[in-house]
Amino acid sequence: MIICEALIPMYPSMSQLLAFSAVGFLVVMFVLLIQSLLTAAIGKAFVAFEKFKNNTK
Amino acid sequence: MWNSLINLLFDTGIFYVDWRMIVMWAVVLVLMYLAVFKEFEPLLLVPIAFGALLANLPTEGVTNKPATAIIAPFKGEVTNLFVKAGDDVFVPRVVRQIPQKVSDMIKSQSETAAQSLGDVQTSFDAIADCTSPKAREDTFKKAKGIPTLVAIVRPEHNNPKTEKEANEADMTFKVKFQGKDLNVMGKDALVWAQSSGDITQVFVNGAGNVQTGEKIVDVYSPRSGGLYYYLQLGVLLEIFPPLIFLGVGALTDFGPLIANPKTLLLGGAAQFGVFATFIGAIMLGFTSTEAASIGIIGGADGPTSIFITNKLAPHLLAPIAVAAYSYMALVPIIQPPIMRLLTTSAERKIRMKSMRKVGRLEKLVFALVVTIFCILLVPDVSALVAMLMLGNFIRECGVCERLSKASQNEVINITTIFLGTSVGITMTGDRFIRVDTLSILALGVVAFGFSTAAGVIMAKVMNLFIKDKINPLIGSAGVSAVPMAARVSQVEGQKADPSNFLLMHAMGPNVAGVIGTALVAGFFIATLTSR
Repeated sequence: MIICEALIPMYPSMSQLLAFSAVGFLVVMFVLLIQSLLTAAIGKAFVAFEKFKNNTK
Repeated sequence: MWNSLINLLFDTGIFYVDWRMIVMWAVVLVLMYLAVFKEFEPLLLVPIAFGALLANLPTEGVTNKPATAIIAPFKGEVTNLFVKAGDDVFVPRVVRQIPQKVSDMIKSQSETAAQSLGDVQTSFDAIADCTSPKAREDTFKKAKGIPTLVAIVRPEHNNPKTEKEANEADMTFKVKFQGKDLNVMGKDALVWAQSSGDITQVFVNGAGNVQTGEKIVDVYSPRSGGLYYYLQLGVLLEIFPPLIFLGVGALTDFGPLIANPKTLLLGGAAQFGVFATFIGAIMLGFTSTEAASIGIIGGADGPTSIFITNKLAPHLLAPIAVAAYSYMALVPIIQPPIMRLLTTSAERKIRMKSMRKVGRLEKLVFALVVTIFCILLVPDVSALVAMLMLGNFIRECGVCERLSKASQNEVINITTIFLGTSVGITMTGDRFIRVDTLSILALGVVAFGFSTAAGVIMAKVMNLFIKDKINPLIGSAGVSAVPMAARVSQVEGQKADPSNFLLMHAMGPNVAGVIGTALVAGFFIATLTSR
């Protein structure tokens, strides 16, 4: 694998490094937040469906 | 009779043992003690420690490579070729750390050109002395662990990492080797024999240009490679990490995570340690790709560490894999002091609301959603995410019991034995007792500490905003050592309140950590490599 065209150079400056790390951490947190909201929404749908099923019995 | 006994003695492996090997035997004993008597993840530590023991014995036939073509390490020019068709090349039972380029021969304290020239000439003299046909009959010379030098290749481009390396790369030396005068440069690569055998064909005549991977000579030997040469391909070809993930997926109940999805954020927060260590490693002089591989140790995820290191910094695979697996095993030692330091007694006693029961269909939907969502966002780690979720789907679908049991037992157990020993067998003394390796191990602990702390702090921050409080002790389980980190949360929680059960709550951030580390790995691979 040729490692040449990357978002940061092999030896980044401190500001590049901090910006890159902050972006990386925020991206991961954002993805997990969306995943969390999605899972919560699906969970709510399942709980509501269970309630509906129990009420119609 | 007497001579036969003497010859037999010299033919043993005793004379190949050096002080580094003995130091590593002590390290092996410590690892085995922790595994067997303290029961710190023995399933991981025993194979690693045993592999490390094999690595520090003259184990001919265990790790040796099969005879094959010797190739150019990069595009450049073959400036010197020291073998011809019909010659034989030799690799001793134990190969020590050998210089990969001429500048590696220069001792770090050498300052003047004359001193550097002296270092280079001394190294070439040692190579000539230890690899001559006469030296092959001398056990002490063979024990120095120097294989036959096949060629010198001058790279078309050199990529020095530091100013010192740039200066050394451009230095030229006139040295004598095997009765010839050589003009070498610091950047010139030394191409060594990788297996004993006969040269059957030479592909380069005199000085010739070669492409990366182009054959220089072909070597034949009737002997095949050693057992671990083949088993280690499972690591190098990235087969073992996804198989471990298959087993982890089949063993893990995602129910606690689905019932309490906000714990996904704890798994994300624990990735802070990865980025903090990434910064620290770069400040210590590692490249960005090396730093990313070192940082991921903080995720406490051995398979992901191997996966990313293979892609970004394959030369650091051994120390990173060892650090990642060793620290996973040492979770019960590393995490508790940090957890206690960052929490009050009242916080450690927080009782969490019992979780709702999650049905089979919801778990199956979750597996599919995570697979699609994560692979769409970070396709670089699709092998890991796909196998994790496949394992979980097999477990939860209820109609693949045999496959589920195989994944939970045979597949993961066999892979763990092979992976553990393959990792351990890279722990040779001369490779391990080095400043670089030791600094990676030190950075690994820092990464682990930061990840643990970030998870705990995130839980405390979340408690400021949510109604149903989270016990901050489960935040530390955001590192993905499943299920050790969750168990540590449970143990620490029970120390504060013996009737408090945190294990299932901690499993949420624990499996979220697996997903989080895979996402970080995907981010690093996507941003630090070219297409």
